[in-house]
Amino acid sequence: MGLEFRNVNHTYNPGTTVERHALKDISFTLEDGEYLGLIGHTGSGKSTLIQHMNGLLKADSGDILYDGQSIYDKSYSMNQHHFKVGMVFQYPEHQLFETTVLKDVCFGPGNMGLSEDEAVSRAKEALKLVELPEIYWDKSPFILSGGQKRRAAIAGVIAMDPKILIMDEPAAGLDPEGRDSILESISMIRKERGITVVLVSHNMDDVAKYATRVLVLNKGSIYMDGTPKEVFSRTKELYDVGLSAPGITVITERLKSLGIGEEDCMISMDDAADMIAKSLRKG
Amino acid sequence: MSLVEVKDLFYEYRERDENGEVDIVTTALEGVSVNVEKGDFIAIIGSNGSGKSTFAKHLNAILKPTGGTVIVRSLDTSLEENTLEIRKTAGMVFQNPDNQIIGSIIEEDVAFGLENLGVPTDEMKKRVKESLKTVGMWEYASGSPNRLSGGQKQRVAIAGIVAMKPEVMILDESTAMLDPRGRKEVLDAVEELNKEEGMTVILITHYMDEAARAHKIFVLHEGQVKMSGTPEEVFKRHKELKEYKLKVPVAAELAVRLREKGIPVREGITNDDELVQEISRIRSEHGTGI
Amino acid sequence: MRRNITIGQYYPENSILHRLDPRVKLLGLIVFLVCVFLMDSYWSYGAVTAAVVILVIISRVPLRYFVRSLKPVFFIIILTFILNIFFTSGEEILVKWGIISIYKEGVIMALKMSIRLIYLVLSSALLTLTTTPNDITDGMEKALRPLNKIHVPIHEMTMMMTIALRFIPIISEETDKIRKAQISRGADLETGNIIKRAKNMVPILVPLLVSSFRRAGDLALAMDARCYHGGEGRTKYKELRYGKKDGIAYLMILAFLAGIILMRNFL
Repeated sequence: MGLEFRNVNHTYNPGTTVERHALKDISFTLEDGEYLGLIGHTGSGKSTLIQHMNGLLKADSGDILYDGQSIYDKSYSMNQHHFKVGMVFQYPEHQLFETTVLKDVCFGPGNMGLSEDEAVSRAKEALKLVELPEIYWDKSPFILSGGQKRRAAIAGVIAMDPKILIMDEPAAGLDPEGRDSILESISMIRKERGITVVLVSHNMDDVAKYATRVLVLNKGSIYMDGTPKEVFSRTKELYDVGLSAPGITVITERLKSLGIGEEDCMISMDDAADMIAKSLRKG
Repeated sequence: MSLVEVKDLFYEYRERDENGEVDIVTTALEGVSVNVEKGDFIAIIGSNGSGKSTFAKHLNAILKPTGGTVIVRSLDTSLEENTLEIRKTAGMVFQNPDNQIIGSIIEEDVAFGLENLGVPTDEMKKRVKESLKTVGMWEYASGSPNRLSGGQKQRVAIAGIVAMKPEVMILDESTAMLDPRGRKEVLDAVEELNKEEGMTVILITHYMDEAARAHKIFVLHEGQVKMSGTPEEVFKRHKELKEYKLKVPVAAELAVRLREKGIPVREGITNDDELVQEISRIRSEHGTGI
Repeated sequence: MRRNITIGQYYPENSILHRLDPRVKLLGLIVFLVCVFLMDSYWSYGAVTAAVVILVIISRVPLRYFVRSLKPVFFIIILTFILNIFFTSGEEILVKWGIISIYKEGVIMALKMSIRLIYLVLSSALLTLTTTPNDITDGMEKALRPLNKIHVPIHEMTMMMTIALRFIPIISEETDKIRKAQISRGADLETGNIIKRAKNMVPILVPLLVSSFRRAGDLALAMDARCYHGGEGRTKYKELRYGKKDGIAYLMILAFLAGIILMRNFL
């Protein structure tokens, strides 16, 4: 089940001088409950791919199936699909518009046709999940700090109770603590609600820490698809397409080439420290 | 006399609450003192809301101190008549690459500051070319900035400052909105300017790996300088950094973990190279005897 | 992607028209517009038509770009034609059908007005297809500079145009992004009557306004930081300089105007 891509192609501005084949024959299935890290150099097609996931862009050819049904079927409601596949764009705080945080978060649930009480209760629940303190709920979203605005905007999507949550660089521009705490919140929401998460990020450390599966895009095609360890062990191939590996992987691979440590690809700080200590003791 | 002398700088601003009634006085900077010598490469790091951007805006007289003094090349920023001269001396690159490019053609944008200074056209052409070459963007000179990546746009913005031949360049979170490749492009360009042209650089950032490339780091938290020193000295105090919502680079953190496990890794590791060298040194010196 | 949109419709080529000083082309456009309204005889129609055809050919811009420029005004041309054909009265009736009569004068008037409209559009297209918006702005600034003496803020006006040219693509891209974000939250932008639709635009317009103000603030800071202090004492990176071809073009433009005036008075 989940969300299945079958030979999806997308071309921007076909037939003009600025034509660009952004997705080339993409096939894969996003399984329920996965935490997918989507990585690729700027212009690799990540943003086009996620916009296909929630139906904002339509495939030129190929098909996308949600729980076995084509989202392009006439009988399939695209509007409902937007609610099932929630999308948090980069810098989502730029889409806040209401007079209070709570009203803004209610916008999505309200559009779903829920009663006002139901919408408000969902909004409050979402605001709790993103850990935005209650004192801000009745404040104008525009007076919040950058990190708080970000949380309010994410709550606006969580409140629609999506089955799949797509996030494009949710931590962009935040300081290290803000970064960690927002990613922790998302991870917790995933566990609590059992949802699927798609994280688009340039930060390999974050992807390595949270993702259960990593999909690498290059020039509109799938370049790699596997567990974080599988993908990040192919460090050299990642460099070839303008990407890198997590900081810890880079260090441990360098040490291994000097004969220190022999285990598989390392993506966590604890494992790496253990490996190096063990190897040094052994001599 | 230092090139930039910030002495006991205070900055307070008043905010009205939602009903426009009660004033709230917020102190963004509380007694900050920083000296920058010619040719230095300084990093100011701090979390969001630490006051680092407010500090940066004092260096070229966008903001004026409510207490203390900011002196740039012996010019006091609080005096109105010094403003233009200070801005010629201290060039500033901002955070959002889109919002600081004025021209629709790259070379014309780089020329914008020179036009304002009244530089003659021939001299201007020469300087635009030189500065675009310095940041590696000359081949795009006649193109539109809209088609560039974030890192390329920031390099154009840097060229626009370099062309004005300032003595110090301030980068106010100029890498915050860029991807890793863009950040690297910008940092490389800045480092080269510092090394090759002797440009004094003040880098405002919350990325530790960027700060590691500076000669000296100042850590700002809640409007105060909490730490200062070389990257080695600052990264040693990783626990304190955590209190200030910052994080040491991966290599520095791994070094700490190894020390905790009883591996005699020296203090003050700041980057991958140093850590890898240190570990192989330990192996060759100690063999199996740890 | 929206990133690729360009303002105006400049078609990159290297024709003589492309290389002319923008001031020459601006004056040429004005003279041509005057001529379009001065023409009254078949001779003058012929002369103006010949001029349009020759300019289109030497511009080396493909014909379909000119046709495309007519598209948005196509409806207005048809409307003008119909209004003139039905509501001009005269002496010679061509068709009579109930209360509707079509006179010969009506047909002629309808043709004349449509041709004028088409030439108006084509001549503006000739300017915008062969001149970048920046060059047009520069040309206007330089040509209008004497007005500074009577305190018309020419520099400020052209600076505003320059900034608008720079930010229109960025803001249009941003609009697209906000629109998509709100659609993802179930915003309904396509159904309902005008009032409901206008109300539904709020989730797009508010963020757009907020971000435009933020951009404006950032830009003002960036301009300050680069020592911007108005037009006084400013030099120009791209100093427009007339060449030989520009002088010749001026002469031809004036000769053309004189010719049309002569035709009006003596033919």
